[in-house]
Amino acid sequence: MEKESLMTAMKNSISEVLEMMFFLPIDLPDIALSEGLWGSVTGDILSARLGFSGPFSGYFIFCVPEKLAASLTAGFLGRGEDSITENHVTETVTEILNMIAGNTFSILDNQSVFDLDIPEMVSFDDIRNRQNSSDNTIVIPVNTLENPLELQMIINT
Amino acid sequence: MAFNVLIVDDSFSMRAVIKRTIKASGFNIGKFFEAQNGIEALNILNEEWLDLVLTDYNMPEMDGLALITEMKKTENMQDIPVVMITTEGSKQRVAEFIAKGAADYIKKPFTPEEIRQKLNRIMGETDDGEGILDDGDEELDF
Repeated sequence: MEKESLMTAMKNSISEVLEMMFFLPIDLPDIALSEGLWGSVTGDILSARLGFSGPFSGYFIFCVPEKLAASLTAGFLGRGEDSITENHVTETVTEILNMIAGNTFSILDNQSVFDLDIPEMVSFDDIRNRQNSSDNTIVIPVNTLENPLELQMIINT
Repeated sequence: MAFNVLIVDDSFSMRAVIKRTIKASGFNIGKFFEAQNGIEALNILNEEWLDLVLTDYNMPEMDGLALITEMKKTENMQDIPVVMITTEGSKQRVAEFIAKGAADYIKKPFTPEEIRQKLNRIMGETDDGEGILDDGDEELDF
């Protein structure tokens, strides 16, 4: 699978999910900007992981600052941020990843079947410390008005 | 006519959003029921009068396809229409849903308009395009 096609599908999927379900305007900057993505973020960063298998296999990683995740959750549920729980936030983060991943494959190739695992929360530090080869990793940085977020796809080799 | 609807999804956030979206769509709702997986759904289906089931595909314990299979084997459940609400979008997977007995499927992400059109068609209701509320008009209840 061509990396360029995967990147395009991932970007389109992110736009559709965040704008249609979360009414979140986004900007997809050049990939080179991603290196300093987390520098300006204060507070914790939440990460979720979702494995997939099909014509090729691997996993997605979705990283989002906790503050932005809380704001997205409040909007998603139509509630004030003061009334949402940690559980609401983690469920929303994993659901965002689930929707983006499934939608990516629908956009990429709706003739092929990809099986998605149940998404799970993982440690952001573990993600950062893991060195993946750039050959099998696609990173899509996303800017929002509040904070950045990031989607990665790591393909098993 | 108002319809009793069962929403089956392991994410309570997603169940809440589906409820909210259906309410916003203007589809004629009687009562909502909720289940976290296929097993819970079957228990509710055994106890309550339901007109429609909306189910996720990928769930622990019992997934959406297994739920449909069980419903089709059970006399008092086999005629209740089931709609898959899922991130799965491959033609082969959709064909599998329909072959197992799903009435239709709704792909996430979805809009209130898509929900209303599909549900009205399945339930034989006239779709006049009215009744769509501005999203966010209704606060979710848990």
